[in-house]
Amino acid sequence: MSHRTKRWMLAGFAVVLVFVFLICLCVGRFYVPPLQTARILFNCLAEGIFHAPLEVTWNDSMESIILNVRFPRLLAAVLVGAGLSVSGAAYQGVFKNPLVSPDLLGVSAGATVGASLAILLGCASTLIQLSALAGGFLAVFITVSIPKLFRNNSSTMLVLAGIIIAGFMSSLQSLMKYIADPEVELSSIVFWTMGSLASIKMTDVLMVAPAMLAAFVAVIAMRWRVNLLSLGESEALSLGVHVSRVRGLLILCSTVLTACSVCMCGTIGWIGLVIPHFSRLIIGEDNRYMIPASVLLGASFMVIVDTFARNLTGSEIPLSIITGVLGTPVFIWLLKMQKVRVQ
Amino acid sequence: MKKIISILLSLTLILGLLAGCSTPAAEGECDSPAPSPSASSGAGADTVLYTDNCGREVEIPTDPQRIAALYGPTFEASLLLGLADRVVASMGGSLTAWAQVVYPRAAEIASINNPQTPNVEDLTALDVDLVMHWSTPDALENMENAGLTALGLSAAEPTWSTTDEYVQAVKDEYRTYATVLGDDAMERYQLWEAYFDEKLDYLDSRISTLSQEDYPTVYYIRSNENDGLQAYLNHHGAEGEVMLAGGTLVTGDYDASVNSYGTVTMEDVIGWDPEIIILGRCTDTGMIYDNPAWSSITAVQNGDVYVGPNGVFYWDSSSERVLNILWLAKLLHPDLFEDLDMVAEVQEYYSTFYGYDLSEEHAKLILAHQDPA
Amino acid sequence: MAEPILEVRDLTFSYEGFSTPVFRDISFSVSPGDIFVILGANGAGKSTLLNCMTGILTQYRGEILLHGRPLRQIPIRERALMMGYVPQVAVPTFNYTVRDYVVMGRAPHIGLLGTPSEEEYARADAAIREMGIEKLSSKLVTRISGGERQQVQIARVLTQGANLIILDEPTNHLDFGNQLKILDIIKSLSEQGLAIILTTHMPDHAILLDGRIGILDHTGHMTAGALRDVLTESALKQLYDTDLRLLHIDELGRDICVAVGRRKAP
Repeated sequence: MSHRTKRWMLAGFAVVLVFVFLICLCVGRFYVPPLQTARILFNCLAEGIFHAPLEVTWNDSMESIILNVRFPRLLAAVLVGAGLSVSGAAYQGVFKNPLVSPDLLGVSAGATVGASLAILLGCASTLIQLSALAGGFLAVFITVSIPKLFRNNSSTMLVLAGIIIAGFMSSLQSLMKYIADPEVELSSIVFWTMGSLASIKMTDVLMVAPAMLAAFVAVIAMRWRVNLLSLGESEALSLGVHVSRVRGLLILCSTVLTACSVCMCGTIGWIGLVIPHFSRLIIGEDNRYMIPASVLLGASFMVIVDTFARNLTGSEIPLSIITGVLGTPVFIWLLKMQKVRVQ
Repeated sequence: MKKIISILLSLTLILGLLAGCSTPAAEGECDSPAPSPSASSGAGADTVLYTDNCGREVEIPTDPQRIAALYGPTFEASLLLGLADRVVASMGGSLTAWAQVVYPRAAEIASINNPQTPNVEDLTALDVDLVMHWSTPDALENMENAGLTALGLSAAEPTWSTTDEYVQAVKDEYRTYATVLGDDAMERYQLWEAYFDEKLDYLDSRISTLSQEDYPTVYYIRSNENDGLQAYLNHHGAEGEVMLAGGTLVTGDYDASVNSYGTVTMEDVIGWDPEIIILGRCTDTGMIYDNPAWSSITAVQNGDVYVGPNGVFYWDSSSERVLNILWLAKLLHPDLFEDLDMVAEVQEYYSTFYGYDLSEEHAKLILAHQDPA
Repeated sequence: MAEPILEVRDLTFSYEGFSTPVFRDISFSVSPGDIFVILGANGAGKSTLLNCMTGILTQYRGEILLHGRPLRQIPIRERALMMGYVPQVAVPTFNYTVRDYVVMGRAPHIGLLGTPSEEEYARADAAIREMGIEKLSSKLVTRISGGERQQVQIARVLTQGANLIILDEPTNHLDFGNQLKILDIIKSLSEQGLAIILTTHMPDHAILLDGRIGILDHTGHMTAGALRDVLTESALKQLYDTDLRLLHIDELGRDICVAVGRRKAP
């Protein structure tokens, strides 16, 4: 597959994402005719940029649904889907292992502990999110400090440290569940750990969007370096790559992406593992194309998953359940296609 | 030799399968029919045979002296029925600030923080002779094994669909508590029942002048979980209370859930477009007003988001629900109930049934869902 | 004699916590056009020595100078512009095409946030042509043979543009024909002016390369010098603890190293 073909494919994925986004914006329990949806969206642009609002043919409820309920949700889904996929892709390259997920260094476990603590203390949702961010960063910070303690900077040491910290965070999490009041807090914590975009507000999205966008840009800019890192530490070093610095930067960006994702919607599994594989299957293993592909495919996937979550049954299905149910057979199929070589 | 081993292995497998298949049925609440307080004496002068909500026949003391009121509303019920002195342990959340004002001894009652799976040793150490509990078979069996007398008193399935049936269900609930608590609880219950009927007649006399179309639509939030999307659903007491007050609960036709409260979706609420929003067990109206997703809803645009009162226990579930119905009626139909003085009603209730003289300020704090200053 | 590219002076290395050094007081230097072959027994410390020379290990005593500057003080990227490294042949984890794999050698010339441009690809193509592996250009690196992969790795190191190349046992895992092919390539690279350091197990290869030799013995000492001086029968016998002969073959005009083997009973 030539480079040109791959570039066209990326463009195709972008178009798919836009389509999926628009279609899912029209789908929901409260019926809004697609024409009105389009008009509401255009009106937003027309009013905001050109100061020339359209004629109002819709009612307040419709506008509220589209702009205040569905749009922030889908936007969050895009960021979360892309963020988790790119984190997974970056880690898989950095750690030379296609079976690695963004939770490798413990960011999800730490974020969950942070959120649970905030829920136990009765904090409002914004504080819960900040607490999740703090917990995620703290966990990764401890993880990357352990190799420094043992003065062994290899990636194996890093992975081991991640396992230790994730395990520790997991026990803390169990402790919190045990302390939690079963009437109110426990169900809150459990629902949070399964992932949901039900209560997302535009302000929540705007709080994390700048950091996430910066991280996206950084990882995409460094995507060729991921290729170099995937050759292994000593080879990359010999090619003049400052391995610990580049690896550190990639870990930082991935942590930002994953922590922000978790703080918006709780923990969601499988995406960071499956979407990069899927991208590899379609567009090849060169990170120059695989990483942007993961961004686009991950975003589309998450938008679709969230739409299922809020429309399949009467109540909201937690996102992790859908990604798990969809992700597991897809992963088995990918293994069967033997594009994943387990070494 | 091989043949013998394979036969033995197969036998072991089959036995294992049989053992596995005979495990008890699903956990959770029992699904026996509506609780009918049935007490048949004859098992001894100081004990009585009682059939609880799980259909378990338990020998309970006629006049229990050391009661563990673990099931949510039971502590307040004991207060109502004048036997709070006999309570030695209670669910943590029911020893509220107002309970302690009205009944200072509450501060000394043992607070149980995991009431649905209580520590049997703690209860035994307290020498409890009756546990009033949820109808969860596992927990009840646990306590029974430890030699404790436990009753499952919560209702598993919704048991009413009309307001008359709701009223009957409430009366049955408190009559049950009275039966179980023994002593003169039944007399005190009858006083309360008369009061309840009087108030219901009063409300009916005015509300019956309206037709159902005049009933405002109400969305009744339970707690601040999920940013206002956790609400009372059909067959929760709150629905009955709203109906008796001349309102319609928008969640009345929602997917019925055993818990009778649950989480709805934002799109549902926008679709229902309620005229009145009430916060039940939480107080932050900012949660609704500051969230743009709610902005198109009629209640929000008209400023009709209200915080419900809170007293000795949650007003939706305690005997104070009578006051809740009055409060709701005045809120939903201010013109019909201009002369209804809620402060006076609260004071009267507290002095009649809790034996406590509530000051005007305190009554106002209770109506404002605030803690005693 | 040209200015040496790499100078090793009194290099001594011991792992933390071990009192016995892996090797001690190693000194040699390599100038443009030189081939320096390091022979050593298994476990003698060849890999450790290589790791010190490529900058992976830094806790050594003594000095390594690259273009006259202490190696430990040269930033990683600059170092890659001066020194290239061909590791032992291993299968890469991910499936890059040969062309994409070779262009990775241009990494020290490309900034942190860059991707290879047309120019870089042109250089990669040139290196591929130089190695004569055009037909492999669009194949996947994981799908080519060991010998081909070795050629690809040399092509990559050529695009780096360094004038010192270090190879770790380049003839391992190759068949007889490919072994000689690689040795030929190494010789022609040195003729173009590149300095080459390599490790090997095969004394005969050292002879074929006709460069300078360093023998790393069990005690951690290196005897370095010209082929004729250092590569003696006794030195080899001691190194490999086996009976062998260094014989001169008139027909070929060169020495060979052969094992004595077991004599058959008459």
